[in-house]
Amino acid sequence: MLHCKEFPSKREFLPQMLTEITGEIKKYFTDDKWINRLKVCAEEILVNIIDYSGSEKIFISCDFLAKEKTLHFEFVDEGELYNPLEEVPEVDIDAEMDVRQIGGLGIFLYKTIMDKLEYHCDDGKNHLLAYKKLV
Amino acid sequence: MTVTVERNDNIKIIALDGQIDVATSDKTRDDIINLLEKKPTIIKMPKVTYVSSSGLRALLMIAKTAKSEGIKVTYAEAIPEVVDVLQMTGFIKMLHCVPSRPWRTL
Repeated sequence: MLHCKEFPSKREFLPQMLTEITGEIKKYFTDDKWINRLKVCAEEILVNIIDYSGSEKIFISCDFLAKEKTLHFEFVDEGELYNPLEEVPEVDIDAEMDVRQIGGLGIFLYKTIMDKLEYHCDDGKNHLLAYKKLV
Repeated sequence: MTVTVERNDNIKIIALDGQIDVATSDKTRDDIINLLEKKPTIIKMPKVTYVSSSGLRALLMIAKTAKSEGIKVTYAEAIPEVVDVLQMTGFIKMLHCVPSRPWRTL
């Protein structure tokens, strides 16, 4: 279990964060496809915090909810309050290349992959929670 | 990420090795775009172990740049985990992606 581990909110610490998270994922998921999918989600969430929140720190928690057979992540930052689950841009996955937009892919991916996402702010901090049931 | 030209005659084959993530996607995109010439180009991906959304954006920018210059780009031999992300986002249909080695027939 990863409990509220603190990292500097900088890109150079992203590999370290992803290594920790991937280690947790591998305790519960054995299918490489799902390990990869969840890593993609974690990278998207972390990059958004690092690049846009203005927070100096990121706190990451990961635990397994045995009753629900669900892996649970929580990402906390102290940056500008922002709910990334609002105003999600539309991504048309059937669009032709000429009209395909560059943006919006990250949040599309983690909304597609995770079973449940929740956001709340508490004590002036952003909390993003993500849940994935074992498959 | 390493970008290597494996063949450059009537077609160009560019081999990638590594991850295309937030740390490498911009350079990978720029390196490949700088290698494009007016000939069919195959980008070999069996050694690409991970593609994030920033990697997808790089693949899209490469394909858009190539198309604007009249160059056909094919992404070949991606591993299942990468194909999975390409499928989920519709890139597998939008880009020209093939599982095998098409240059053998060119």
